[in-house]
Amino acid sequence: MSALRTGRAVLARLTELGVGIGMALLALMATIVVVQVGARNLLDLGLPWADELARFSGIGMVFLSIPALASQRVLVSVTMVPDMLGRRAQMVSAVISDLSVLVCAGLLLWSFAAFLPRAGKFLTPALQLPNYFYYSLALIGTALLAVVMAFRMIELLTGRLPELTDPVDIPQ
Amino acid sequence: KTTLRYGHNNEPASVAGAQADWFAEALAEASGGDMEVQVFPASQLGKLQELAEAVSLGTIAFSHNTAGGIGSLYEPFGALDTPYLYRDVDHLMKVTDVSSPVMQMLNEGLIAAAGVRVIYSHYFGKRNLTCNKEIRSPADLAGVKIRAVPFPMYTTAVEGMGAVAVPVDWSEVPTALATGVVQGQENPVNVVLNVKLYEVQKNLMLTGHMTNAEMVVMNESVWQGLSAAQQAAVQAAAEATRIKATKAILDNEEAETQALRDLGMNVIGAEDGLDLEAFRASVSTLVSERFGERYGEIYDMIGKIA
Amino acid sequence: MSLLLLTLFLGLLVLGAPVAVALALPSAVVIITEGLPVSVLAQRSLNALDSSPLLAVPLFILAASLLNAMGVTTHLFDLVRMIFGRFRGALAQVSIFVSLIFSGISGAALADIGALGKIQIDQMKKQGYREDFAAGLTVAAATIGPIFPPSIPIIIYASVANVSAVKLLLAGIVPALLLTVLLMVQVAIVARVKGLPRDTIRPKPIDVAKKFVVSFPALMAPVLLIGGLMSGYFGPTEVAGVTVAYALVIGFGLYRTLSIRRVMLALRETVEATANILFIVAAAALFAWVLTLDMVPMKASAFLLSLTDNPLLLLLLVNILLLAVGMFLESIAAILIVAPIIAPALVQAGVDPLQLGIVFVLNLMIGLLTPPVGMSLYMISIITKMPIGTVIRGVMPFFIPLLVALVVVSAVPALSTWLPNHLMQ
Ligand code: NA
Ligand code: NA
Repeated sequence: MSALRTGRAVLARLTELGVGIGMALLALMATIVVVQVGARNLLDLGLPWADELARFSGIGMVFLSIPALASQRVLVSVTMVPDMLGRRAQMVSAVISDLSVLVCAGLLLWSFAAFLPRAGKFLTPALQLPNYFYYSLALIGTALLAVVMAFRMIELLTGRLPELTDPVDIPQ
Repeated sequence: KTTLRYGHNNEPASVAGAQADWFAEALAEASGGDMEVQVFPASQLGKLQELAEAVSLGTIAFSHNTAGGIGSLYEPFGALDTPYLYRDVDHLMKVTDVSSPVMQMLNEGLIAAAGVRVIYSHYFGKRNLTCNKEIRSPADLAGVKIRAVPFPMYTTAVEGMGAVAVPVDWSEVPTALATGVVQGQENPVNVVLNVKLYEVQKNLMLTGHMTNAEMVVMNESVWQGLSAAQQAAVQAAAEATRIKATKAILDNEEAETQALRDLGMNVIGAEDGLDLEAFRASVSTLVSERFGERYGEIYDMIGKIA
Repeated sequence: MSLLLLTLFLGLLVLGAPVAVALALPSAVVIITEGLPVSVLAQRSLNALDSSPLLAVPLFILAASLLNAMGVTTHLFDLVRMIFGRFRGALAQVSIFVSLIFSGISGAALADIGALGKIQIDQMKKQGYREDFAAGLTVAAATIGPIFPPSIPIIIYASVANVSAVKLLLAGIVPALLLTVLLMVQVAIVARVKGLPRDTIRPKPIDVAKKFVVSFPALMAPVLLIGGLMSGYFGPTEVAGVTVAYALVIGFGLYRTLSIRRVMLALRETVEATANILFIVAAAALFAWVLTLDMVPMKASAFLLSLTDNPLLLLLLVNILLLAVGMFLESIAAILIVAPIIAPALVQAGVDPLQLGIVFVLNLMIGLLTPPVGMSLYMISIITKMPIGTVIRGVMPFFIPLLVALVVVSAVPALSTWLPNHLMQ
């Protein structure tokens, strides 16, 4: 049991780290965009690389933060039907939901394994970065997502039932 | 019966888009109905760069792209989009013919690096500058912001002409020109006409700073999987479409320039004092500074093609 | 293969799987069973996010989150309350008007509800409004938010339908004002018929002046934003970035209510909200790719155009379709899946792309209020601990102004197109 507890703590740290790096990438993105405005309007500089770097930050931010959202079960979902059917149904729904995230992450990893060996060396247009680098954060985030959800399944099999939280709000 | 997918980013009504349909028709005919091409225009299956990768991955069999775009799969291709590289359209067509020594060499590299082969390329147009301001020489462009495709070669062309190269997402180009985020852009005349850039730009400078070919690429495993007869059919359809598309663009170019004049654009050519020699000299200096070493050999080969 | 795709999607959705996964997993299953290259999963979803216009999504969320964190919401609410005075139903009118002002900062209906919902409903209840009315009004007024710029759904629509985001954002201004007026008219009528309470506020002129001064920097944010879009100093994504910078400057320099801790909280909120939305965007791109490969958009468009080629009738059909879609689909996913399918055909038939975008977004924002899948209903019920049933009862009457606005915006293209076309030439 203590191995499970350690695992849980490590994964919580890692997902938290993902969000932390996501926050840093967001701050970087905002800075790049403002610098771009200033450079163009004040210094007559176009900075063709800035947009690509901002997009790189955006992709990384999204994929590194998903594991935390998934492990807290706050990804947008429509729980109306399970909610109507009561606590047992909610429990089943939570398990199915976690399982579907796990399968999805696994398939995405498989896809990365097919995609990157071929397309990894292709270069991005502006910065001429290889895709290996450009998509590296997305790959790391997906791998973490898979590990987090797999661990969730192990916990479930060893008898730990899902804790149910309220559905959470997101801006749309 | 073999069904193959062709994805591209152009509107079906443009020549670049229509030529995909022409190719599909020509291939159906040349193969006696044995081969069918399903065309997905207008970025329905993904964005421009993504489509080039998709051909490499085998998701789709065909797509087309600029040489610069294919350069992201195999870098030396970028050389073919060098500004002021070709003597004329005829020279471009000879260089980009898949049987030319340059293209044979590049194609081998592309097949090895990405599993993609160029099956034909057609003339896509000469890129010209449009701007709110009248431009006659590189000096007129000092401090002027011009939207540039964010590829090093394209940025170099704009900077070489004396302007500030600014990246703007294609969907925002008309608005950015209207609000003044950028004062100008550069594209072939058919684009200026189709996207109605004449509504937001006063002057068209016939700088002709790039002569572009559009390259139609095919997944190599799909190609190798075809029978000899099918390969021959593809080659026949490719040759027919290449000629038809090039002719269509050439025929239209003059009429489109006139249409832009009629729509109120001020067209400035060499006879109106546009200093083409100065543009050529200034762009070429920057090009050889940035790309001379990397592409020198290819430039030599291209220069030797008569 | 599209039938399998849709069945699996609806199944997972009903079971409570995350919307993004309900979109991605069936797409993956179809891709694998059809023998298509599995690499397309990663390629398509990554490329869907690799988009400059979409960068505006996190930046606008961050700007709104920062402005909210420095306490401007309360100032705005107080100011409008003081100005409106003590007529019947005043506080309800104040709520609508504050939603309009706040919509100039925020790009999302749920963000508006999050920022304003509690104070609006608490104040109204305190003055004797019925709680279902207060909740209904709040969620109805929050639909103004994503119509008036900035707007997350408009940016996302613009990026999939290949329309200029700047023009489409500006196109939302007049319809948002119309919606505001219609909601106010409705409240005025209710105030007459049902006798809504008067406000109790009795401000001295000096208090109003003080409140105005303190609210002024926040009131300037929308001005900066719309001015920025039109001026040519910034593009749409850059405007979002500049608003973030502006919020930091006034938050640290003027209000002095921002702290590093609050900025970190805003960053965290933004990262989580953005990842949630853009995960759906990535998955929906994959879903739409499978539909396209199966020629669904082409067939659907051909079918639509075979019914009629009258732009007005087509828009009417689209409205009916979208109202139905909006009941069951989450709004962003709905835009991403439906827009590429029908927008090209409608534009080809002569519907203005800007008007179509606004009709689309307005319709799906109304969808936020329709059960069974109505995110705004969920949100307000979480915030206020009110049962969903009560909220739904409260929202009912407000469908009248919302649907009237939809009909008028659909019937009169100029409402959407005049302002952007006038400003951009
Ligand atoms: Na807004
Ligand atoms: Na709904």
